[in-house]
Amino acid sequence: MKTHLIKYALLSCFMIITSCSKQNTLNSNETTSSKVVTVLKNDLHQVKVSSKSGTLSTGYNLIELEFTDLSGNSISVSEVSWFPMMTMNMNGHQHTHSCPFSGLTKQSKTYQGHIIFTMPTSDTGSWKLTIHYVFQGKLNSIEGDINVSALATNIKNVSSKNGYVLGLVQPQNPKTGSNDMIVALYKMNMEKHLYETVSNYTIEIDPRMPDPSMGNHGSPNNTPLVQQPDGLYRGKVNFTMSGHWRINLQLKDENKNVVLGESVSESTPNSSIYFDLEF
Amino acid sequence: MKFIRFVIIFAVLRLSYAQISSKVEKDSLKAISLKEVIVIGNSKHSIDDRGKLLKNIDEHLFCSSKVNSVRRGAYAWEASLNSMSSERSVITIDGMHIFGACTDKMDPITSYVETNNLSEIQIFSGQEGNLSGSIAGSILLKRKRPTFSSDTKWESTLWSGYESNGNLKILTGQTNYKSKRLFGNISASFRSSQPYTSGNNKVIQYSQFEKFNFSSILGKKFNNSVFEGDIIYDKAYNVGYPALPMDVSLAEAVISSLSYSLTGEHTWFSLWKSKLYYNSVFHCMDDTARTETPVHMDMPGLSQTLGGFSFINGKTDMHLWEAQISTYINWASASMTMYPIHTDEKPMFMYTWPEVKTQLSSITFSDNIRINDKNVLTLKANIGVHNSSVLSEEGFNAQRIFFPDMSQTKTRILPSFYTQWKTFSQNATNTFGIGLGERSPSTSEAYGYYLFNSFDGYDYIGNPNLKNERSYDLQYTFNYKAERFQLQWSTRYFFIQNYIIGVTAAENHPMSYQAEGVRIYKGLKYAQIFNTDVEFYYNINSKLQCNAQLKYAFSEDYAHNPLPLTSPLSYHCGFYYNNTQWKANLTAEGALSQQRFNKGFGESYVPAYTVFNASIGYQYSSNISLQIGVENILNRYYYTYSDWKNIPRKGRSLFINIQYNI
Repeated sequence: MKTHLIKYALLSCFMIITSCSKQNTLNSNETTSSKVVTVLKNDLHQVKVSSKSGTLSTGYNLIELEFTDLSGNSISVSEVSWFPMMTMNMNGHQHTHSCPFSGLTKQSKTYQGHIIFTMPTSDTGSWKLTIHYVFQGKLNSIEGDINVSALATNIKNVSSKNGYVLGLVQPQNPKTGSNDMIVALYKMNMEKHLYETVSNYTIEIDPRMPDPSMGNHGSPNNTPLVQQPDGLYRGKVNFTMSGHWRINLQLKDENKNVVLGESVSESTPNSSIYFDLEF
Repeated sequence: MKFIRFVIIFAVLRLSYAQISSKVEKDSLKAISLKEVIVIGNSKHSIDDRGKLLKNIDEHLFCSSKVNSVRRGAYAWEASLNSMSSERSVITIDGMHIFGACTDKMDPITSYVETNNLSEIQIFSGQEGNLSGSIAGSILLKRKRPTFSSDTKWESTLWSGYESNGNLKILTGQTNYKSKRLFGNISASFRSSQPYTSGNNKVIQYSQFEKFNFSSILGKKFNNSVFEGDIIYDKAYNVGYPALPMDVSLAEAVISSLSYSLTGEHTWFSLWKSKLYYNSVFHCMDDTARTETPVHMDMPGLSQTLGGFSFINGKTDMHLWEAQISTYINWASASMTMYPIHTDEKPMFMYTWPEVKTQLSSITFSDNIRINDKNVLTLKANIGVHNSSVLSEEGFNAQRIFFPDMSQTKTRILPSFYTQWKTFSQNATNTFGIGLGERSPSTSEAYGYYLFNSFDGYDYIGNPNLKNERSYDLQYTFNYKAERFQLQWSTRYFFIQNYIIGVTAAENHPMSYQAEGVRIYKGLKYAQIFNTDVEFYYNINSKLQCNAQLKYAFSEDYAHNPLPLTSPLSYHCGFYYNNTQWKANLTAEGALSQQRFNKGFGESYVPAYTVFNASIGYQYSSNISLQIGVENILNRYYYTYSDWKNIPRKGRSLFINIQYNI
């Protein structure tokens, strides 16, 4: 238990440093007409945690933080960082891990960033969000439990393997036709025990309909995802019809060598990394 | 350029109209148009009246040497005119355009009418039909209507028929009312058949059908004008398509029109007729009876057409002219909902026709010019403006996956020109025709989406960027008539540019579980189609006649590959006996083997066949006629080149038809 706490403290410190220095801005340009998910408090302040839907769920979540005093007046804070942590209880053994998350950028009144939750809150595991901030020159922190809900069956918007985590940012509301596809790609830095953005890769996509009646057929003219200045990967995914689609993924490094994932074939019905969508 | 050509032709027409001087017999121009007419019903001593009394429309059409039927089962055959698929011909009912609602051509227009709705079928080849958007020609179905008569009359007729093979039952009735200023007709018919049996005594599963048809027509005469209302309601259900992976639970059509015509007695025109029409076709495919289907799907289709036209015609000593303006708007929408095997998944949906709105407006002129007693020149010109747009945003987005640069709306100009020279001599008539026409791609060819073709096993994707198909046709007909002998030899040649056909797109995955791949419509550089047929009649004596018909088609694309659905040499011959009370015939029909076929389209070698049919009819009194007969006497197992997936035709079948005039 103690070691975990130490690790946690170290990580938190690290995060403060990195988020201050790098000003990581891994956010898509969507505006959150936010709904409050939860309010976290300490003795002096509170943080309104909001998202577009008013909930947090597995996968990519764009989150806004609004700092106020306990009576609801805005306060001016700086050097804000956050750290999500899952604590799992497996047969009496406690195990904690984090997930990929971005730095926080200041908006007019709020701080915005994203977290890719790799699993939902469940009977055996719960998520805690810790937020550090400087108020009037003094480092403070707020923490509290957050509920991460599971996705509907047949939806899988986060895929991880060998330390890589891919979070599907777009399409959130897929439709028949050509869809903009945005993916956040992270890799665990084993030394720092933190997920870091992977740069200059290409994400090849191969959308298929995996229902047995559909013969795992795909769609044509998809555009592989390449990294944009904001750090996210963008491309185009085509859905020829509605239903359950599996977007098979393949990571290629800057030399076009396959790093992760397999091509789909008769014998390989899907890649080991993929997203599932249904609409 | 096209427009200038059109203006010139128009100017020539007007000029020639103004120069009329010579006086010739008034009706001499009447019989000059070379058209093929199939008379339906009781045409006494008509050679077309071979075989059964109660033929369905498809059987009537097949009597024409220019038409073949593409069969996917026992019902709703697709008429293939001049060896070309139905997209290349235009079928109208009394000038009305109607479009089937099935993406798989399971409901050709002819399936929505009944024999007793019609009086005749006119068949024109190439641009002779003078209709926008046809390449192969046009098939004009003419509604049956009573005439005005000086004495008020009620006439009713009942027909009943039974065929042993498939247990086909037919019951039809009609009532006519005629008077000086009013006529009316009501008819109803019902056909029902169980699966038929092929020549090897095997029941062809899923070949049953049931069909109900009701029609009514009402006409009222004012001084020299006639007001007419017309409606047909047709409903087929439980229709099996053994050659396809699906059946049809419902195919329903309402066809209606209002028309007004003015007879111009002692004026510069003969008839001025205007019509407003609307029809709606609903078609619902159904695979619930098919156990082999891994995925259940609903495939409804709706096609609605609103249109109108107005034509005026007249004749002078030298001219028989007609001018027409017409327009129609068609809305065609079809979709597919598939229910996955993993039942926790959502149903899958796609537009197979993305709510396509098509408008065609055209202006038409024709003139028969009687140069002298021996020579008649016919000029026809038609120009149409064709506009199609995709109304469904979802369907448009889906199609743009394949064609990112496609536009939601497309306008095309469809010209058609035709010139015919007919020259008469003592016993012979020579007719030369030359035409140029264009057609736009059909809804399926332009906007179809994953339409499964069970013949070649490919999913078809429409191509909105297709160019117009353009055809140059040459026609020659030789007619010879002696006292007891008549011969007609007819040849039609088509040179078609941008010939539209599905081309395999190997990089795409098929959607349908049975499909091998995807084909996208492309325009081939060119293709050529040649049709020829010869037919003779010989009167052995006043009561006995014989005839024979031979037809042959040849086709190839620019790379000399045969085009699909091209007939091998086929024949029909028979002996017909007629006296006042008895009627009998013995006919044979068949084809040589098909050696030249399009393998890529799923065609294979088709063996030669001959089948024999015979019937005897007896007129008991002026009120009752009876006919019994047998088709495919030798119970031959056979299929033709145009039987979808080589589905065998009917084996031996006995039939009995009764007609009762009340």
